[in-house]
Amino acid sequence: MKFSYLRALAALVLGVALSACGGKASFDVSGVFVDTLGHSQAVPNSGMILTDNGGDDISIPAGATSFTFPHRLSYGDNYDVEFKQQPDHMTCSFTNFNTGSAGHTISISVSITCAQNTYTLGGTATGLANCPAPTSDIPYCLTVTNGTTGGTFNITKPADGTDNAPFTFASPVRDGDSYGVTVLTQPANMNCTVANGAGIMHDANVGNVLVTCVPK
Amino acid sequence: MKSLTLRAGLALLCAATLSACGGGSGSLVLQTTIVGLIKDGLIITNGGDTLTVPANTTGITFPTLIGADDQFDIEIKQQPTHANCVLANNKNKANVYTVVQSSITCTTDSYNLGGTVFGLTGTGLVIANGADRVSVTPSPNPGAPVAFIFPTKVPDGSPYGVTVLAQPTNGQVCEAYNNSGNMPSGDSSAVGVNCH
Repeated sequence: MKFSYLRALAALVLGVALSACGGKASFDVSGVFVDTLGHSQAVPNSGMILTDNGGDDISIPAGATSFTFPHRLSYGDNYDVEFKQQPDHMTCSFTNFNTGSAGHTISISVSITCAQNTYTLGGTATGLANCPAPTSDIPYCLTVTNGTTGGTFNITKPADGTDNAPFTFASPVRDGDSYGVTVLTQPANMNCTVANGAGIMHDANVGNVLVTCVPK
Repeated sequence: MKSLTLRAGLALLCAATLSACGGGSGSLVLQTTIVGLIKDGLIITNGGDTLTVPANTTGITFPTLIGADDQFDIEIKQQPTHANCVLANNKNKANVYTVVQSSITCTTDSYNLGGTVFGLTGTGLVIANGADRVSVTPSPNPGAPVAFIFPTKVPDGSPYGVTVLAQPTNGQVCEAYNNSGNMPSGDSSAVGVNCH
């Protein structure tokens, strides 16, 4: 009884495997775009070029959710999908195997996830020699913020008496997002103002925000 | 042969289960992870334990150890000020898995941030709270005050900082004032922008 079940199952598996081979002499090299949780997500920006085996190229338009290379592969042929060009303002990566052998799995589906490029935001604060001496209650001279979600940065009085100090926000800013630096907490004895504090992040780090503090 | 393997396996499983039980002496540490708590005031309970959870806590353990298969029931006795927390996996029979699976997710109340633009006659003005932007167009009566509200609400107590991202195209220069602070416990229309 048990053995006859086994035999029937084996025959069925063999049959399925054979029909899979016989019915499909060639294989599509295709893939999908997903978010970090694996859900389908359209590529927001154009410019991506994918290549298979270094010669079969495909341009990915903005809004694409999947792709299929023009050339099909025969059983046993290797595929090797790589980025020839990243999309504008984004960096994409493979979330599963981007190389392999056709026929190893029933279909070839490469998975790609993309993230907007980010850049750092910072600059220089001047006039810090006049900052009040730090205390345990008020350890910082002043605090600057990049809106609500961009984070805050506490600027301290340089211990060596230097008047200037650089600062960089811990949270980088996504390409295309606006930023706006303001003084959230002023020192008691000075007025600090911000120059070059607002703009739109684009393709490079911003390091020219200038905070100038003058005694009241 | 097969039944022998089964029996041996069962015996092993039994032994493992018993040792995990530890004889019911109350050896399991009940803990909960906390996400998004930025306000004080949260008080949680389990049985006789009552814990006050300060702002910015990301995880907490209950002092009383519990025994395997004992029932635990984590409840919120008091919500944080201006925030709401929700429990998950907070009631179960204790075992090595369930005692680490409970969580508390908190959302801080958020309010509208806005203000008034004075003297605006040109188009193209964009003001921003960091990554959150709003375009402001002149009043039908050019130069009259125009109110604005940012599209994204700001959580109670969170910082904000409003800047002029794009000036009007007619050569006017606008400047924000009273433009940075921590969000009060209610809508604020305190930000001012002067254009001249």
